[in-house]
Amino acid sequence: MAATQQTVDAVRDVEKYKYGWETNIDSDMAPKGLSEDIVRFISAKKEEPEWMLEWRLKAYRLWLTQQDQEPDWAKLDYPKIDYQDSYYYAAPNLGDGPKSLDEVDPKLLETYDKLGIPLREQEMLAGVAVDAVFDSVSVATTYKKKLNELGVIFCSMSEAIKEHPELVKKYLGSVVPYSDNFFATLNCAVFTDGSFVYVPKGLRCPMELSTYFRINEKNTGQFERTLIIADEGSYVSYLEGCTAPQRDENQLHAAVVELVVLDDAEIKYSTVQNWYPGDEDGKGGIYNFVTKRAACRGKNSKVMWTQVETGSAITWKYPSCILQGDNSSGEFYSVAITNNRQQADTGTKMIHLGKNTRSKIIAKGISAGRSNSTYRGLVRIQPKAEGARNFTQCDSLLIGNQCGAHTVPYIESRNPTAQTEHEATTSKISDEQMFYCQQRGMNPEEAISLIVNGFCKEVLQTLPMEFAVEAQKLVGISLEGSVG
Amino acid sequence: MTAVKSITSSTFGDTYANAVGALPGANEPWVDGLRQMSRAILGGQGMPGPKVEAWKYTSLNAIAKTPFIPASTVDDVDVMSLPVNVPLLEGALKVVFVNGVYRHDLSDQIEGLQAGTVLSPFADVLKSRPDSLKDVLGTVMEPGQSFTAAMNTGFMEQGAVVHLSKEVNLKQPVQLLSIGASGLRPGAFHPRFEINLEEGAQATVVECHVGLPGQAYLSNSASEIILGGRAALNHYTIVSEDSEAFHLGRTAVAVDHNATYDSFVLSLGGKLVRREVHVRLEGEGAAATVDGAYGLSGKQHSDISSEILHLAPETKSNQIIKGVLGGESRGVFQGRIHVARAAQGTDGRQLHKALLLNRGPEVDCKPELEIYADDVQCAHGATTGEMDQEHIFYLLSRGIDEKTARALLVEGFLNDVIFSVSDESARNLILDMVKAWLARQRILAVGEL
Repeated sequence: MAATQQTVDAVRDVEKYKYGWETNIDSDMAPKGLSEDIVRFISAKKEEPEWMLEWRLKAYRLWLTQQDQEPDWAKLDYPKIDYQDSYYYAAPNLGDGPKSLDEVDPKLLETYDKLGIPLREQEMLAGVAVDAVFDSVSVATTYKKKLNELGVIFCSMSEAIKEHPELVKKYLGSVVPYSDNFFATLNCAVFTDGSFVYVPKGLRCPMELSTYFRINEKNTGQFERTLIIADEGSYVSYLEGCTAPQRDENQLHAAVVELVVLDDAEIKYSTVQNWYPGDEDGKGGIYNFVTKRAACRGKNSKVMWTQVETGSAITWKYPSCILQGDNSSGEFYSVAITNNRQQADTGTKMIHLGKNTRSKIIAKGISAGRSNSTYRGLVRIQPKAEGARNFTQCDSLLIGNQCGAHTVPYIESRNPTAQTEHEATTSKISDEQMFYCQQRGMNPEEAISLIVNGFCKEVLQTLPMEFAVEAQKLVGISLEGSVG
Repeated sequence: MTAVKSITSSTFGDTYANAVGALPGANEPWVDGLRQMSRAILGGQGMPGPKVEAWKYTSLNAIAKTPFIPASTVDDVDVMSLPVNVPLLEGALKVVFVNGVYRHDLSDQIEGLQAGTVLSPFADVLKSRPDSLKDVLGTVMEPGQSFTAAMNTGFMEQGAVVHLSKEVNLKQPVQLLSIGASGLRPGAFHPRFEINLEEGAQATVVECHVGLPGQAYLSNSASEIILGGRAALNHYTIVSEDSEAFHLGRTAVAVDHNATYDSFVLSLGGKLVRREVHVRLEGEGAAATVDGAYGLSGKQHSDISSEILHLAPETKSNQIIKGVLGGESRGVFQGRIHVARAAQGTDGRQLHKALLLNRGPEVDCKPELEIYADDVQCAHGATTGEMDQEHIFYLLSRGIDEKTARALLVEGFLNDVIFSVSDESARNLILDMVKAWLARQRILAVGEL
């Protein structure tokens, strides 16, 4: 019951969107709008080499030709985005850049404190290495030295472009090419920062790596780009958390995450997404268009995506696995909670190419208020995927009669030895369940929180400890006001 | 919408465009208007390409490339008697169409049936009593909702009308038999079946779509079905077209309170077969069963696309589709269950199972749930895979040879769903057709089935 009590406390504690303040610090911003000059500006600000600028420009020029190709197949309804009405670069003004944590602007550190990730404390106690991205630049990377000694490279993407161009050149865009889709192409042109991780051969990364993203500046889009490479036989667990201050306008977030997994390596990627969801009438909130993809290139490689999606006005996100290496496996665990007027269209793609590849999909969708949540997934078995195996389970829970829950799976099999299984159910919290809980002295909100946490348990338990607790609280907070 | 090409201008040529005025009911403004509207939809949208979600897995390129003529003008082939291996339903009233044209000589006597029963050729009704269809035609089979419906409505000429008055129980099943037979030039025909059961009426209708071996033809059928309160219809559709033939068919059903629509689709023959089923559960307590089975070999392509709309409280739907794929065939199943806000207490179940017999076939499956009501029980499942080696081993260990063992297992796999067909004579007919299909397949070497 301890967890439930925490959830209840959290609900009382936090009236509305708990992360909805903004930090007043000077920002270094590019002019509004998007043009070739802005792309050059970003590249110049980041002191990038010529090849990087060329790549960005190539993407930008392609994006210009794609204006009629903005994806519209998702079950999402939002006004057309004006890409010229946004800032594409905003950096907190830090002077020459911090040499160590002591030089980081105390106001910034305070911000992270409020978010519940005090960098210092984490450094001291939690043993989690954190790379924090504030608007567009990576502010500080903790635990860097210790990781360096082990040969793990964990730094911001801008730093990696400067320090490790050979790795970046080799892998950037190799999983999500610049021509992949409308939003990914836009990201290639204007991405500002993100994390870069390289885990060397045979190393089991001893600590969880973590990034916290936060959109602070008004009218900014955050275009993060993350690349994680797990070399042969290595293992890394990476956590990502996101928040944004409360604003009336909609803000755009178009991220790309690429994972490369070589022979016998494993990446565990966990996300708790809690961008500002907009208010009760659907005003404001983040538009979250994310392309996440893992390439299981090596034999016996493994990727595990876990996501808890509670925020954003619009979520368009399909973390995928390309199971290329023989015996490679991909897993996708997702909880998507929508309330008020939120809309989420999320799921995964599992592309089976190699022999004996396995995939498992567990997706839980919870809709409340006037929201709509959709699971959209693809399982494709190519002719050479001998003995491939897929299991998919999608469960939806509806709270209230004004919301919607949808399931749109695509299953394509071209190999007779492959087995795919898909099952989906939709239901509501039964009166019996509620009665049972209330009869034992819980109020309706506590009861819902308990039942929903139980519904999501299969997914939440795959999260690392630190996140599991936060995620449980979030589940409660997100559904606040959905009863009665 | 990505158009392959405009259908009125190239695929059907001028022979089609000029024939509008001569079609039955052309002097009725509302019939003519419906046809013109459908043709305008076809002309405006053209043939749907792979970017149109409903046609993602089924390409119409082969149809677009074939220069069809109206099949009623095919004059170099004649069918004097029913071909020998046409599936015939025991004890049924036969209504026969050859190339879409009603054949009085091959059909059973359909006049003077039991009181309250109308079974007439569609063209006759359009000519002599068009008003009897005015509130019906095009209301459930909406041209704007599907390319298949628009094409049929734009070119519909002949077919059948089944109308039962209140509380009439038509004991004798009706068999609508459509035979395609092209000569040197490929023909296209668009049979239209209107089935209307008033309150409490009951009937069994079996549609069979078959063809003579030879040239390609296009059978584009549409069945528009309206069931009044407490009515009950068993509706079985058997598609066993010629191996060169194209079949694009749609069934659209409106089911009123406490009525039941019990259906089965069997898809065995044809180069490209698409059956669309669109069911609207409009009245409280309405129920539908939308089962089916398909068996494919060679380079066949079969597509079963269904939409079941729960629009009223306490409605139920059940769907099991099973497919067996050999050769280099491709099987497609798209099934959407939609539960509207008002449809509290809905129960919707859907299952698709595909068995791949060898290396080569592809199966694409898209079961979809779209739910806007909270007090519902909805579930769907989908599996694909090959025959279980242990099952084969079990039979081998009992002295059955491998070829027979595999055939038994395939038959068992399909029979599982066929056994749920409630009308006995229809069930036996479907079982016999599956058996015959299996017998044809068994000629091939094991593993090539």
